[in-house]
Amino acid sequence: MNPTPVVQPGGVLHGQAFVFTVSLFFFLFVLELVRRKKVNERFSLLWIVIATVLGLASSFGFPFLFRLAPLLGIVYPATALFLMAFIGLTLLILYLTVVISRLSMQSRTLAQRVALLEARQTEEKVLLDRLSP
Amino acid sequence: MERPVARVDTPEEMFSVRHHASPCTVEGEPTTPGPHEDPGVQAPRAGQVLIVVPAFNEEASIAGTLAQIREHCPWADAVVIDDGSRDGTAREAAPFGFPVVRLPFNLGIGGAVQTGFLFALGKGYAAVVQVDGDGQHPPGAIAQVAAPVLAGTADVVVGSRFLPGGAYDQGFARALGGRILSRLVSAALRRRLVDTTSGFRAYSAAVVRHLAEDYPYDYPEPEVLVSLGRRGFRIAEIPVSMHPRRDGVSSIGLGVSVKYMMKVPLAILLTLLRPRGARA
Repeated sequence: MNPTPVVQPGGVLHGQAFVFTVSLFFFLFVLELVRRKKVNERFSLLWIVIATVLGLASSFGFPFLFRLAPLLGIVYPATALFLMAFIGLTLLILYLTVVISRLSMQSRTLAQRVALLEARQTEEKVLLDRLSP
Repeated sequence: MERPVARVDTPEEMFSVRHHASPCTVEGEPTTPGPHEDPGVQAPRAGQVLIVVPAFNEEASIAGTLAQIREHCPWADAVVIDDGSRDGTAREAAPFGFPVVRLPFNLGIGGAVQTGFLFALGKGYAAVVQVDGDGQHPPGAIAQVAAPVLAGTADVVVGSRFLPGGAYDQGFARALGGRILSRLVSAALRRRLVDTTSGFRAYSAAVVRHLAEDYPYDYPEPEVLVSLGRRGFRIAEIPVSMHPRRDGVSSIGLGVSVKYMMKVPLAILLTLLRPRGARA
């Protein structure tokens, strides 16, 4: 068992460098997906903003994190980070659910219209066949 | 108690078991009046009534249902909504000459029934009657269910299994669930409705126009009554005898039942939170 203090100065710097590297790669990955049009425009903007915010937060955000944590009554600063990430991800999922709901409503309407058109086409064909044998 | 699955060869056998409602006044035909026979029900005119038959994997029973519809309701138009069936439902439905609307994938009962409403739009029907393709809803009672709508005394008519004179053999749990939901709907509308899960219904043209735009996806029956009632549409119930399905599988198993009992009350509460909306 190693009774290390909760926050070591060097540990913070290493941690910060690590998080920054991760968010940099994340940003590049998002850019690549957008460039290849794997993500459409509406979502690409969203993800570029998210990647930028992550990058900025990991570069300059740590002092704020250390100040924010006690304000929220949080002893371990990283927990404040998790909390914010958790809230952010929850909101993102909620938004995606809204998008999915809209899409499924649209696909339902499309399915109905296609089916009705096909049925009408079949009916008309039957009528035409009857008229011209 | 679910009935054992039995093969039924003729539509007559299929409907003779426990169903007493007699054919809807075919002129000159001598019929023995059953307990629910209403001699006052006149056969509607042609072009007044559209029967919507939603069917999902009902190849065993759809033909029987359609044969019954043609026999009992020669004055009605019908449309089959094949809700993305993976069996021969559409093939079995084809010989009857009713249009068959084949949805490209399964939308669920709500989306299928709504397709029927969309089909009805602009065709001038005074009433649209929903009759499930599984053979539970007796086509012999269609005229009675449609009558109040055609007479202009109701906008929605529910064929109720639990009114005096109606009948249904149902498992205990399902009957209890249905009763709870009916209490909920009754409380929400501040009036007594006894069978809110029955899908055997007639709707007026104004209701159809409304539902063609807005109809719930899953388990729509109780919820729709609340939203229609709050919009001021007049809801009526008449007793109907139904019998449990004999072929195919109910779309409502145990897991689904639990989901049903959670979704419907929630949906009703949400309906109460929405503005009432104007009628038609």
